Amino acid sequence: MTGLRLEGLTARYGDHAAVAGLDLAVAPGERLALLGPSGCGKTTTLRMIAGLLAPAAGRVLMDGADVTRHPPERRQAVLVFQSGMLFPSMSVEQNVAFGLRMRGVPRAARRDRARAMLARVRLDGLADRRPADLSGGQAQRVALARALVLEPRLLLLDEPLSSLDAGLRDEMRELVLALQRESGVTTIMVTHDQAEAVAMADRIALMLDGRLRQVGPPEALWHRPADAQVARFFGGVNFWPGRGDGTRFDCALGPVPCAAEGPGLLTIRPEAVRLDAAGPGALPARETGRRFLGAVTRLRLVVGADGGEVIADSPAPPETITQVTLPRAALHLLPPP
Amino acid sequence: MRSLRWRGRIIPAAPVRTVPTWVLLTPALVVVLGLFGGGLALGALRSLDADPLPGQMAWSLAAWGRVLGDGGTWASFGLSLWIAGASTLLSVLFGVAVALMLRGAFRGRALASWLVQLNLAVPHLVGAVGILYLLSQSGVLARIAFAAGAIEGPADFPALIWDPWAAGIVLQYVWKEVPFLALVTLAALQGIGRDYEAAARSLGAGPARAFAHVTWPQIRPAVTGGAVIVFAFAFGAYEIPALLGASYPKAMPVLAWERFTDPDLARRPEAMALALLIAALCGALVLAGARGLRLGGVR
Repeated sequence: MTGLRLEGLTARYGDHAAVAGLDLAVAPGERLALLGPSGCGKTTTLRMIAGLLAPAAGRVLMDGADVTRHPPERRQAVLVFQSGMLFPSMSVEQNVAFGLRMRGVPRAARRDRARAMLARVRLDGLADRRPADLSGGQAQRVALARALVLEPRLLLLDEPLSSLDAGLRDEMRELVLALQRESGVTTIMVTHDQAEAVAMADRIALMLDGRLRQVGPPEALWHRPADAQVARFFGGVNFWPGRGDGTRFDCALGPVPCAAEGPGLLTIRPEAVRLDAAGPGALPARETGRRFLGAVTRLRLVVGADGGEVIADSPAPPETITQVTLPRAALHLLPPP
Repeated sequence: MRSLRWRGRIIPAAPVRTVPTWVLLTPALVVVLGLFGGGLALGALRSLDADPLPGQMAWSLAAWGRVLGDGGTWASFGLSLWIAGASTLLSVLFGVAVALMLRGAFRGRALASWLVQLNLAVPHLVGAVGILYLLSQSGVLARIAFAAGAIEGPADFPALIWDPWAAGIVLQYVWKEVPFLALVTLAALQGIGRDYEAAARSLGAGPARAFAHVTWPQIRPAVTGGAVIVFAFAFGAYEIPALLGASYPKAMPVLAWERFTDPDLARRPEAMALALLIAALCGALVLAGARGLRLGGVR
């Protein structure tokens, strides 16, 4: 298993820094998700790790060895493209065996290994098909097999699930996770979908505008975002500027009991707002709108004399709402904007 | 039937076509079959006519016998084959190389691209005259070499024009066709993008093997198509070998023209036979080449 370290990694397109001084360490066997909106530099970072793009500055280290100047074919860091990029002139089996062929594995051996790998991604019957005859999900699995058959040091996945529809997505996610656990390969995946990152990664590195904003386990980014932008990316909608004194936080909602100290933005996830119980610290509220979103209903509530707004998600909201409770443990103070 | 809306106007969808396809194809077929097929048929008739006088006919295979029995014809065939083959091979090599260089992003790419395409507008004959002035034994390069003391006289300069290897002719075709093949190849390369190659590199292929195993099979149909056009043109064209070719053997089209303009009208059927031979051989070679290279594309 291979560890990866990026030091001050920078990429420029003209004058624009697509990736600016990125520092990141990935432990051997870890699954890390590089998460961010499109254009944030995550795919550029992945290409620099694969060796397909030379960084303008910085270093890429694999197990402590500097590979920044190594060409892609010497890195054993295999990139699986979003669209699979299966070679159209080769059969499925030839595609899977391609890397082995490049390594000089004899024909019979690479045939056996390719067939075995195809069985592991449950495509045994399709060895002789052409890529053009495959569905999107099948092509994606062949691309995965083509990478994993090489037992690479790093597996790099570029939006592995984005091109698949909902049903296939769950199946593919479980398959990727199962194969990754089996092989223990250090995996870095790029995605713009926070749900995908949360479900697949041991740790998430959130990138915005070419910079790392927060790195940590999914729970940490979800419940303890570093700033309002990170919180928004994970679906945060409640932000109240104000000041806390350690026992209460003064903001547009009025005094909110919590342990926050100093100036900042108080936040709470919409699904953590409680509507049912009138407990200690309950705040009087008035409903101004509700919208059914499927799994939850989103409610807009006005709280306090200054017209502060609270947005709450609830799977089964009561008919009438007169008060809300913001549980102390769910409240989180962000730095002032 | 769906209509389209474009810039505020509603464009009605095309009516369902009721005219049979063969009717729609007829105007084009009449031109192609009438001019091309008619010309071939007339040529064939004339090659079988031993009577030089107009209006008279005397069926005979004599002209075909003289053409096929003459060793000079086969020497000409060999020369034309060599000219077309060498020109095509070199044009493909350089054309693909130029396309590979031009597809990357680099400073001055627009200028380089413009320079490469510059001579597409120059007629073959003008290029040939240029080559003549440049490369003949009394040409510009020979004079420079003489002035520099590298040679003592015109005869010391290597014969590139009117030479048995037809170097000047091949050079002229390569000069003219490299940009053509480069454009064709570049379009194909840009059509497939660079991610296939990136995927191959990531899987452990070096640049050369990524090209050979992954890129080439995808651009091969386009390059082969371009190469077939170059080959057919170089095999059948008259003006360049007429200007830059040696007196023996002559390229096949030059030989045919000579027979056609011979004061002895009895030789005209030979010209027709030669012309038909060129068409047939060229067609056969192109077919064989296309089949050998699987022009039909990657399955």
